[in-house]
This record gives sequence, structure tokens and C-alpha cells, in this order.
Amino acid sequence: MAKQVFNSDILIVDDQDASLQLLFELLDKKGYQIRWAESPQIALETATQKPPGLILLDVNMPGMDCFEFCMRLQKDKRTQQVPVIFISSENDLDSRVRGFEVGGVDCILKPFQEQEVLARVKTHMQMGEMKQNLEKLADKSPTELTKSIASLEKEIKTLKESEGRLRLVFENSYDTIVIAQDEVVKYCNSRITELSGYSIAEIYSMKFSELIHPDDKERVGSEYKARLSGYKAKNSYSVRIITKDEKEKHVLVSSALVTWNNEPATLAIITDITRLKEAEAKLIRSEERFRQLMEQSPLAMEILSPDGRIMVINSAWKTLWGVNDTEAAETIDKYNMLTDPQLEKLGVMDEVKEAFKGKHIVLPPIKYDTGQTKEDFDIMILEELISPWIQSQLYPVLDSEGNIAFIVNTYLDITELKNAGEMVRKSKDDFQILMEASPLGIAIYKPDGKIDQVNTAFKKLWDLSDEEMAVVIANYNYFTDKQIKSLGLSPMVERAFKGESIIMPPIDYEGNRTIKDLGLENIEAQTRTIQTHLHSVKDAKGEVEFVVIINKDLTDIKQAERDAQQQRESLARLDRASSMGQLTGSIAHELNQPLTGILSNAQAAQLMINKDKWDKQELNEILTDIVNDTKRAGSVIHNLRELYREQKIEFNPLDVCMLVEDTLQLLRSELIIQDTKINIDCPPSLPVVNGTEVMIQQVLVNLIQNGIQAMEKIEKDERVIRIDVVQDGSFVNIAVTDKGIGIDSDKIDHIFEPMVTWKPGGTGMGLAISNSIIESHGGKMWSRNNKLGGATVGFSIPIPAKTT
Amino acid sequence: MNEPIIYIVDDDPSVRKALMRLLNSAGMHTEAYASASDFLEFGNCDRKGCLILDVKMKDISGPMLHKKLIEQGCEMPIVFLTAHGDVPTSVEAMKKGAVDFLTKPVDASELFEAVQRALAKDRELRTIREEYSGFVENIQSLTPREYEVMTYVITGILNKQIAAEMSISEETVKVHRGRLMQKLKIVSVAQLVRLCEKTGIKSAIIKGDY
Repeated sequence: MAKQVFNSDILIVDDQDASLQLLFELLDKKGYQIRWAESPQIALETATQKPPGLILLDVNMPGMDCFEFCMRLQKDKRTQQVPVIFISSENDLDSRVRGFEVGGVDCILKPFQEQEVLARVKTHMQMGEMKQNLEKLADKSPTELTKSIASLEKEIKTLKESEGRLRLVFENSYDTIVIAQDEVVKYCNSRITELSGYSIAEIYSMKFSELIHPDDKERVGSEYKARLSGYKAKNSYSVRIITKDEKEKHVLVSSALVTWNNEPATLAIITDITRLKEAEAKLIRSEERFRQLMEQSPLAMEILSPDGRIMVINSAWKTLWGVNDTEAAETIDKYNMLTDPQLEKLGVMDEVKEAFKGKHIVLPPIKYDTGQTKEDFDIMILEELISPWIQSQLYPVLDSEGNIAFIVNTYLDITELKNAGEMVRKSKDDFQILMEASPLGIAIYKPDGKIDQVNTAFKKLWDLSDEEMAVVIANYNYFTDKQIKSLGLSPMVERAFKGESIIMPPIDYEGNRTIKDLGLENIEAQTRTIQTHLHSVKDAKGEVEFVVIINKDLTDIKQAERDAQQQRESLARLDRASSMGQLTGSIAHELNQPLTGILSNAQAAQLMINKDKWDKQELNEILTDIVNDTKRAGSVIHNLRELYREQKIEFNPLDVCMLVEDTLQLLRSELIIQDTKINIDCPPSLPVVNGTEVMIQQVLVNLIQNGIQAMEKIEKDERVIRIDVVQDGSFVNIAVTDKGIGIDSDKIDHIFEPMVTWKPGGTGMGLAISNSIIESHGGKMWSRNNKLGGATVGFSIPIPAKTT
Repeated sequence: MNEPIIYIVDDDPSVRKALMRLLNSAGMHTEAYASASDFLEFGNCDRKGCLILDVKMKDISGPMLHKKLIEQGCEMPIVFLTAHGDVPTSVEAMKKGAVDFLTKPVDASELFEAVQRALAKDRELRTIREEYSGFVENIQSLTPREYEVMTYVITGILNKQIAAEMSISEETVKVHRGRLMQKLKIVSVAQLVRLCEKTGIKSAIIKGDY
């Protein structure tokens, strides 16, 4: 601010440094030139040398009495006109009175009121100037005076013109202007009609007080009297008036004393402030409502002033921070006492400033460390908050004029939310740990079909280092869809992304080839048998977020399975060999029967020919029989070879009934020796099954032999084996029932396990092999003891899906 | 009626048919049965002939039929045929009087030989049976004294000793002995011993120490 320089300077006379300093600063700021003197002597000296524009004089001074100082000033012509303002303490009435007597123009009371000092100083400076000017004028010549009078008259004329303009202004004023004497309206403009509903004529004939609201009459009366007595009261006051149609209106009355027709009168400018009042009332009501709402809100709130200080808080605020009323007040006091830099350090000021620009600001969640705040600023009462996670939002609140009145800061306790978030994050961490720890190779695919990450087991599975894996992933992700499709997994991934869970059959991966496909050369990789599971993982909305591909390494299991299979097969051969021993006699018999036929027939024919006693027909019959017997012998040998041969499973359609019959042929002699009858129930309408004939025969032989052995101890005419063949859904069941001693109850659950036998001399392999054979056919074996004695052991063979 | 019949019992029709054909072509008469029980029902044990019997058959096996025939007193000679040469069975069969135990497939000459032997045995058995039945009849015509002498004769001691045992003269023994031999139509002591043994006639108890 540029200093306003006055013609005259100010001389301060005061011996008290503090007040001198204060005055000096105050006036200096306003552009006055200041001189100062510590004692009246010095002041007198400097004042006479160069008279100041104004002297500020402390009443209580050492040395010279200030009144004496004043009288000396009066006596000196140079300083005669300098106005002196006394500075006095409030209760020192005597010195004030004396001050005025010795020529003081005014008095300022200590302690200083800044505005008052300035106003008084300014007034007296101007008055002093005016006085000086007048005196200068008085010194001038009469002609100049006449000139002055002429210009004065001119001014009067101008004034009259201006009076006319004034009247115009009056009439056109938006405010109601009234001039009244003794409450009777002497003059008013037409606005009065709009305001009160009365015509101007009506107004002239009534007392102005009649317009006033009865409750306000007394107040207006006293105002009026005060005004009349010259008391300089408030310039304006608000009052209620009653209109002609008995409506209440608020008006603002600004009154002044004027002279009307040489009589004192009151000029009142009346402004209709009804709407303003209503708005105000509304504002108050809404403010109240706001405060109530705020108070009732479960949300902790505080109202911030533009400088970031807390103005109001609500109950929820106290609850949130866990403080009682006293503590809250204390906390807020401490907070508000923080300096701006401290507030800046707390980090909210920028946001507050932004909010005051009209922005709604959502602050990031903050974990309040009360200990820290306490340490830094010593404001928080509590050591620890129960709910430390808080999200603050700053809302600017506008006043009725659309300006930002204040900022409401809401605290939303998001601790639970945050904790939930933590848990989600933690569960994600857990997932990571689990994934890493899993012995299964896991790869995660993103919805775009790219590999997101793989775990250690995955790398181990493919025998890849981290770097190599990175290359593989990068290459894979760089592949085109077509390339990925050629790798074969892609359609499965797509299906998985549609939400399907897929378990693929075990696949033998040629390690080197696969690795090469994935863009890695010169890496040795084993051939592995891998079973792949694809699981889709859905997010909270139920949409597939990613697909987890789990690679289960079945290489070792498969190898073990193959070993076991080989072992089983060799065991099977062993068992076949041992059962061959038992079967030798039987087979020899079966072979010798047709051979007998052949030999006898042939020799008969020889005899006939030798004796020349033959006919063509008979020889033909003989030869036919020989052919049939030869075939029969051939088939016996064929069966024999089948039994001895290392078997490979080769599925052919089998007629089960025929198979049973053929098997019985193999066992014929044994059945005869053991006097065992066979009853077969095999419906001819059964569908064919797929299987390897000799293997199933082997199973049947095993079961029938077991049955025969189980019946060795019972009466011969009771030795019966029943073979039931039935269709059961998609299976053909073949059950062999004997009437023998049954299976030991403690072994019945284990008889299909190797080395479990319940018969003397048994190897315990027969049923185990049978079981493996039936399993390899996709069927099942079962066994039970029958209530009426004996056991049933059976098996099932699946019927192919499409049997035509 | 005079021709012997070869009975074939075998449950294998092919074998049955071939055997019949072979034997027939050799000029032999045959009858074939599919089971032991068929033979028991329809076969004639009194006929001249023999039996070719399969060992392993349903219901009643060869050896079982053999046993049954012995029980019934049927002495028809049996040639066993087996497709499964099992030693215990053959020994048992031979013990019980089987003529032969042949294994299938059997050569024609072997079979014919066995059949001939069986038929010879059959003839022999028939002769013995005839001799025996005459003996049993003739024995009724003996006087008590002749019968007594006979019981001493079959012990094998001399006439002189018989005389001493019976406290009669040696001459008297000679007379009785001549007459009983005449009555019994027996030519040798050995034959007498065999027949007595078969008939169950017990020899006398000899007191003297010879």
C-alpha cells in the first residue's frame, strides 16, 4: 500500500516506550509522518521549530505538567493552531476535563482502539488543515472575498438545482423515503404505497407509528427520542410494519435528523427487507437443521474454516476418536492452536484449500497413528484408536449467495472395509504361497489366454530353469492363436474360460519336442506322462478371472503301473503254467478223443480196402468224420497254445454263451473225474461283448476249478456248479455258483488280492489274475457266500456302446 | 447167437462211431452205448463177447461200471480205453480183472489183440463156469464117505496117509477115490482142488504130522 502523505506530521509525546511504539507503528502504517518526544520539554522545542499537524499528548508525563505544556503551546503563535489530543487512561476523568479546558481538541483512551485512534487523528488533522486554510483565506483581500461570495451564490444555485435533482432521486428511489415531524408524515415518495398498501393521501393523514408492528412500537419510539436528543445511535435499525392488508413486513429504517420548513424533522429511508429476513430465517432454520443433521449423523464430521481450523464437530466425531466432550474441546483447541506450518505438516491443508475452491475431495484412506500425531503435536488424547482406518471427504458448503461458507470434513471409518481388503490381499498371498508350495505344476492363464505365472513345481516338471521358463512363457505369450492351437491345449483353455472344469486324460509328452515347440532349443527334457486339469477361478461377480492349469506328473505312476502290469502278466503266465499242470490230463483227454476217432476211422477204412469190402458211401462218411475229428483236435491244440502264449489284450466281439460252452469243453475231463455237474443258464438273446476270448476263458476256468475244488468234500451227487449269464444294464454278468464249503468269511473281502487263498495248495494268484483280466476289460469281479451253502464268484464284461 | 459181441461204451459219439466202424470192418459184431447206465439197462452180460469201456464218462465212469458189473456177477472181460493214461486208475482196473488198459488213440492191431484176448478170456471163463456148474451138480451124487475122502484128497496127502487119518485101509481109500473122481468127472487132483476151492468146500483137518 502506498503511503498517503499528509501535509502535516504528528508529534507524539509520551514517555512510555510501549504505547509510543504502538502509536508510532499504527500511524506510520497509515502514511503519517511521525515525530516523537520523550518529554514535554523536548516536545515544546521541536513543536516550536516546526509546528506539527497534530500533537498526541500523554496526560501523565514526568517533568513538565502536560497542561502547562498545552498553555505554552497556546501562548506561542507558531504552535497556537496545533490541535492536541490527549491520551488518557480510562478512569482519569479529571485530567480529561482539564485537557479540554487548556485547549485539547480530543481525548483518546488507553488502551488504544486502533480504529478510534486513526479516526480521531484523521478528523483532527483535517480540521486543523481547514482551520489553517480559513485563516489563510481571512488574510486575503476583500475583492477575493467578493469573488468568493459570487462563487458561493453560484454554488447555492447549483445547490437548488441539485435539490430538484435530489427530489427526482427521492421519487425514483427504490427505497421508501419519508420525512416526518412528530410522527406525522410530511413528505414521502410513492414507494410507500408499494410498501404499506396505503395510498399517499392515506399516509399523510395517519401517524407513522400506526404502521409499526405493535411489538416494535416501543423500540421505535425510544430510537426516535434518542435521535431527537442528538444521541448518535445506530444509523439504521430493522423494524416490522403492518401493511394495509395486515401483512407483516420487515423493513430497514435508516433515519437522520433534518430540517423541514425550519422545523426539525426526521428523514427515514425505509428498505423492504422482508424477503431478506425470510431468507435469513430460512437460513437460520436450515443451519439449525444442518447442525441437527450433523449431530445425528453416524458419520463423524467437523466443519473447517478456510484456514483449516476446526469450527464445529458432532457427536460421532467424538465417538470415532473416543473422546468425551471435554477431551474433544481440548483436542480441538490444541489442534486449532497449531501453526500453519504444523498444519501443513499434517498434510491436510492443500486439500482444505482445494475444497475451498469448490471441489469435493476424497482423501485416500489413512491409517491414523495416534501415537505419532501425539508425539508430533501433542493433540490426541487417546493412545490407540480402535478403528484406525479412516477415509476423509471434504465437502464445500455454500451459503445462500453461492459462496463457500465452510468445509465439512467427514470421517468414514473404513477399518472393517480395510481389514476385509487386507484379508483379500492376504488370501491372495496365501494363494501364492500355496501355489508355490504345491507339488503339482500350476500355470495361471489370463482371460486373453496368456500365461500369467507358473510355480516352481511347473518349472521342475519341465525341468526348466527360471530363465528358460521365462523364455517359454514369453514365447508362448507371443504365439499367435494358430500356433497356440497347434500346441493343443488352447480349446481346453477356452472351454475353461467358459467356466468348465476339465480333466484331460494322461498324455505322454515327448519332452524334447514340446520344449522345441515352445521355442527352446538344446534343452534335454524327459518324456513325461502328464495329466492336465483346468479349473476356472471366478471373481466375486461370478466371472472367470483366470484359469488355473494343473499339471499332474504321472510319469512315475505310469511307470509303476507298467511295471505292475508286467509283473501281473508274468504272474499270470506262471499261474497259467501251474494250472496247465492241472489241465494237462484234461487237455490230453480232449486231444486224444478226436485222435482216437481219426485213427480208428482211418484204420477201419484201411481194413475195408484191404479186404476189398468197401463201398463208396461208407468211405466218404469215414473221411468226413476224420475231417471233423481233425478239426476238433486242431481247436484243442489252438486253445492250448492260446493258454500258453504271452497274451496281449486284443478285443474281439464275443458270444458269451458260446464262450462258456467252449470253456466247459476244456474242463470236461476234470468235471467228469470230480463228478461235478454243470448247469448253464445262458439266454441266447444276449448281446456280444468285447474281449479277449482266452483271457475270459482263463477266468472262467479259474472260477469253475475253484468251484470243483470247493466241492471235493461233499457227496458226489450234490456236486453241481451253476453258471448264470445275464444282462445287467450295459454289462453282461457271468456268475459261477458252487455248493461247496464257501469262502472263509475273513477272506471274502480280499480274495481278489494276490497271495490270498482259502483253499489248500492254492497259489493265491488265480483270482488276482482273473481280477486284473476283468479290470482290463472294464469289468468288475465280485464274490459272496450263499445262504444255502457254497459261494458265487462272478464278473461283468461291458457291452460295447453300439452293439448292432 | 454164437458170434461174440463187442460192446462199446463211450460218451464221445465220434469215438463210439469210429470204434464200431473199425471193429465191424474186422468182421466183429459190435453194440455201442453212450453211457454206463445205458449199458446196464440194455446190455446183455450173458452174451459171448467183451466190453470196450471208456474211463472218463459223465455220470458213471468206466471203473465204476466195472465195479458194478463185478457186483452183479457179470464177468464179461473188459478192455479199458482211456484218453488220459493215469496210472492209479489203470492199476486198479487191472487188479479188478480188466483184460487191458489201452490209451487213446489206439492202434487197430493193438485194439484187435486186446479184443481177441478178451474174447479168449470170455471163452475160458465160460468153460470154467460150465465145468464148475457140473461139479456143483455132481457133488450131490457122492456118498458121505466119498465126500470125506475128497476133503482129504484136496489137502494133497497120500492115500496111505488118508487111510491112517480115516482109520481105514489104503485099498478102501483108493476105491473111494476112484469112484468120486468118476462121479465128479474130474481128471486131476489139481482140477478138484480148484473146483472145491471155488465151491467153498473145505479140506479136512489133518491130524498126523506129514
